[in-house]
Amino acid sequence: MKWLPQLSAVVLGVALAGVSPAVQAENQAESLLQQMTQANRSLDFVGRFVYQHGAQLSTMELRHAVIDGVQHQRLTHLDGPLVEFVRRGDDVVCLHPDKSTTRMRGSAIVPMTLGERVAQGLPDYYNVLDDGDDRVAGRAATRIRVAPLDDDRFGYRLWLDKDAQVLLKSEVVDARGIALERMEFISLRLNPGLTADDFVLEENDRPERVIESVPSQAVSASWTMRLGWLPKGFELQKQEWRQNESHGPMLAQGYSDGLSAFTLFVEPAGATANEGVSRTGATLAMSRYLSVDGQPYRLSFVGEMPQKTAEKIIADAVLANE
Amino acid sequence: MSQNPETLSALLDDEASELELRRVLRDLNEDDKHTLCRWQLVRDKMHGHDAMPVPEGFNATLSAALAAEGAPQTRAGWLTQAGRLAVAASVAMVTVVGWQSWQGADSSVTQPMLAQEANQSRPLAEAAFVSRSFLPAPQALPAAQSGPRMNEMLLRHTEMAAQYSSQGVVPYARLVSMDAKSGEQ
Repeated sequence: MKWLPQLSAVVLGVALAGVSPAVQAENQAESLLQQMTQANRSLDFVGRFVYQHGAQLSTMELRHAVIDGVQHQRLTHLDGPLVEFVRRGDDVVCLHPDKSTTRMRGSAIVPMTLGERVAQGLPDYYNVLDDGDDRVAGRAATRIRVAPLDDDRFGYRLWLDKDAQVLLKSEVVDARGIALERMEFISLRLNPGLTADDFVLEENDRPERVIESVPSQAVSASWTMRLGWLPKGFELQKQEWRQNESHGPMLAQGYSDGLSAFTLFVEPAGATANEGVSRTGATLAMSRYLSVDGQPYRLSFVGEMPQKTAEKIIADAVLANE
Repeated sequence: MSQNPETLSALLDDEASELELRRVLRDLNEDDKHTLCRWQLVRDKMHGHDAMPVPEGFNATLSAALAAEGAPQTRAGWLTQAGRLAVAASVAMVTVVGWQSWQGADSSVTQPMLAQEANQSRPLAEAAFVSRSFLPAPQALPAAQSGPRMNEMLLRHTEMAAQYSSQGVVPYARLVSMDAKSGEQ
């Protein structure tokens, strides 16, 4: 019973100090998380990482810089077809394998709200713990374990750079602790001297599609959605309407608990639209029909959540015509 | 010839050896079956379980009924298994769709492609709960829904997730990786 004196010493320490070491570790881990969200947005760096989801493995390069106060980000798929994602402020362009592009407007990143959410909300739904030291991409890292307090969401394992607080590695883990997806930097260079030219896509004459949000008055039909059940801590973060010539109006609602996120989409259903469920790595897509006054709608769930949670959310969703 | 009651008792109590078990089962006659049935019933009652004797030939009737229904034609082996799971999870009303079918890329999406896609999308750790279909096969999408390959919903989810979750670059990595993989097919 060698551990007994140590244990009683700890218990005594807790009793005397009034604050458990676990709580201190948790606070420290949370402040690290906040620093990470800041660092991920404010630093200049170039890095390469592997991304694995399910049986798929991708290698990518990430460039990140703040130029004249505007956040620039460029993600390039290095193997297989060339796919790129470029953000310049709130202008986002995605280059697809067939060289066509999709541009998204009005998707500004909201800087501080996130850090605040992490500080306020997370402890209620996750256990955030400092899990010791490790090394990623040749750099010293702090490992943080984020374990959910219920079965309604996934857990995370995060590796933060000790110097720069950049997220060096992350895993999404299910209830059994098995990683569903993994992102891991293999090289990272800070302050590489990036300029605006490093964030310009090569010009081509392929079609560009624009996804833009419109005010709800501008869509040809509108409806409301009410959710009977949401996992604890999840809040509606954003709701927007899109009007598309071929698809018609579409409602999108984004929900998050500060770490996990899912989005619900509602659109009038064509006669041939499919219902279904599909999972790729941690991302689940599920859609089903709902009927309102005889009108068919398709409700789709896209998010990194357990399937049971998605089923429960969808099962209790109610639509109403306006 | 009927078997020794002690042998039957051992069988019922799960005390017969592997070799003995095979011999007893091979040599059971009608009388033995009735005896076993009676004892089982008595035992269930004594343990306070609700019990009723299974009608004679129940197994044969069940097998015949299942055979008469016929096996679904469009389903591969793994799908059947996954289908059962999904039905148990009470999502019986969904059909098989891969990413492809709702990104509306090809109007020539066929059942084998979809099955393959769903199969590929199964992660290392977790079986994909691809479920039974009400429709005989997922239907091809009309030309009106065709467009750029990118799945708009995934793109928009990525945007929202990147804004409101603390996952850094990971949401974008998901998007880019899935887009690249869809381009390979």
